[in-house]
Amino acid sequence: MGRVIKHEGAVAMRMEHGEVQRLRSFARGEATWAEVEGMTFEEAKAIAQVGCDLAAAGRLEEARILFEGLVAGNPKDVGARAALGTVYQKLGRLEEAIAEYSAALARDPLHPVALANRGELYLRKGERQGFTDLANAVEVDPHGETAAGRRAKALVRAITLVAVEKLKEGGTSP
Amino acid sequence: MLDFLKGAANLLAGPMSAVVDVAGNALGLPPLITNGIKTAAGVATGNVMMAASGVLGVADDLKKNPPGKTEYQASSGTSAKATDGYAAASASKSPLDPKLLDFEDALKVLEANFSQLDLLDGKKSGALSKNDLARAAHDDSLSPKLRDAARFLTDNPAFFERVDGRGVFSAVMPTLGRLYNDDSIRVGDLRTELTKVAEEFAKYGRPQRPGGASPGPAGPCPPPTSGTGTPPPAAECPPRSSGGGGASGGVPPDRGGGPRPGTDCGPSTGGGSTPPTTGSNPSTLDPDFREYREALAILRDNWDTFDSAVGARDNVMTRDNLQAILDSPASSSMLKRAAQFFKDHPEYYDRLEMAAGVGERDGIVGRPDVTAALGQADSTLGTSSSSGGGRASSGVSVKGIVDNPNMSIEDKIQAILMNITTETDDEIMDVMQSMADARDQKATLGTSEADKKKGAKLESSMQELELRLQRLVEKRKAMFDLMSNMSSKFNEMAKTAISNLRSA
Repeated sequence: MGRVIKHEGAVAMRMEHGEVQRLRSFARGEATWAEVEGMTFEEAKAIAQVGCDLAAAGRLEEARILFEGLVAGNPKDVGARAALGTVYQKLGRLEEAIAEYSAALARDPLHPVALANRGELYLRKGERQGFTDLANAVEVDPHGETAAGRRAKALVRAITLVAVEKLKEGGTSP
Repeated sequence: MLDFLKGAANLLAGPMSAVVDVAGNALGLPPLITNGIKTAAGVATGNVMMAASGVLGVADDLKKNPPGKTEYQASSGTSAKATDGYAAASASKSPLDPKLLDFEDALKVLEANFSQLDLLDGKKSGALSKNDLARAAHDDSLSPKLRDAARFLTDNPAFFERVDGRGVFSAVMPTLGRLYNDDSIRVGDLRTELTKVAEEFAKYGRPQRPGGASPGPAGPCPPPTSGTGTPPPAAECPPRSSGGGGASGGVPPDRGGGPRPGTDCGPSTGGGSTPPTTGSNPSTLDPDFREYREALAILRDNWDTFDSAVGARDNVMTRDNLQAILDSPASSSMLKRAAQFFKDHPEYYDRLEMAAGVGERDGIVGRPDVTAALGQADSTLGTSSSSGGGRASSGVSVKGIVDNPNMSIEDKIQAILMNITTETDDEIMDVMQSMADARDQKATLGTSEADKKKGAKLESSMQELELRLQRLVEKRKAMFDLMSNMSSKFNEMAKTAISNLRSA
């Protein structure tokens, strides 16, 4: 109540030279906001881990806000985009999830999380591209080091088994 | 839930189902799927049991890995680096003296090998004086790491004074603390100081060694402490990218108790961060310690052979027994290796001799010493490697219980009490084992003067063990009473709340 916001003029506007340079780079689209803010990869990873924990606890809205913030801060962060995709996926926003996975894959075509999850979503939609994504996910993560990689592996095996059943049925029917 | 798989299989098998190869090629599938189909077809036609187990395995895998599990996997590709778009990790801005890093290392090494250093002068006093450290710094029988740690404290009196115990009242009454200052350090002082150093690092940031690459402490990943049995898929951290990761590949240690990505996750190629711990660390343990543990195991398993290597069986072992094993052409290389170890490492022999904490240093090792030494070695290794068991694992699980969001406060209290009871049970088992060993040893004694002396020594040891057992049983009983009381209190609370709700 009654709070007065003072304009401090030149004092408040005094910025370090480096900061100005970074802001200029951001304005020109040469730097991300994360770089302007001086956020390091390690810090981003720490924030992402909080997002993962929130998602695991079922607090998907909070996880979404966090990952959206990370992506806004650094759209080049493939991991954050894929993680945001998984949150969208769990929220039922499938188109947005696919868009995030695709954006991640545009920067890193061999990202296992994006590949596996996009593959599964494509298959749910009945699109054949899903096979390729899943198979690529298995190829880039052959040892199942990520949950998505393990899921992709299991899906490939499952599809294979179902397909074989189909083939057998086709073979026995006259 | 997995109906889409059928549709997916139709996509595969529908339009061109005649030949698998044709299907694979026509669909432009990578060889992986095509080969998978071939293999599965062979299995399905040849061995029904194998096919069935395959289906079960797949269902299990799918269940274990739910869709859309949120995980952060940094890019490891060549086209996009993980650090792209982020500020470069700058050099450490911590105002702390980089020497604190060496101080922390020294503390860890001393804490992990405290009992060994304590026994250097042949007595177990429970404290290390400046003289002890100076002696250790020049003792060639110790490993270089131990010597360096001791030398650090002797060369840096300011750091020594930080650890130097001043009694429990020093915080409130500095004068009393100064009077109490006895220029010696205890294992508790080391632990307290380690915690303080960790707090300072958390507050001001971890300093960087001059010319050092990474300030991050390397250590094993602690087990996950997230809740169990949560219906939504558990968040999982992916393996760390080997390509990215900036300077350290770990979380900057100045993030206090903040979240640490990668600590509860899959394989890592970078240096993992670990929370400050007062427990021993494998990297600070004397490199010879594992060999000591092995030698102890050999000694325990072949006790009778060692015992009877010199003259008659007397249930004690001296250095002569070791020498006899070494001299005997009939002894196996394994026995000789163990004997050689104790001969080459008198500090470990002393430690073994005093392991049961009975009597003075007289060069005689009894079976209870071996059992006690093995227990101590196991607990040290168990604590350092965090490979489960012992207090380390229970400490972690207590943290897991406390952090578990799916447990009510009542459940947490009960679970923690149960945890403590389990620890007590283990301790009781250990004491009973030591008692049984002492009784066995006593049974073999004769009527000679030496045997009578040993018998008296064993008798006093038995009394100590009985007292300990009594205390443990009482502790266990108290714990059960507490649990029972808690249950009854919770029940009362619930009943009161329900009755209040009813009357409201």
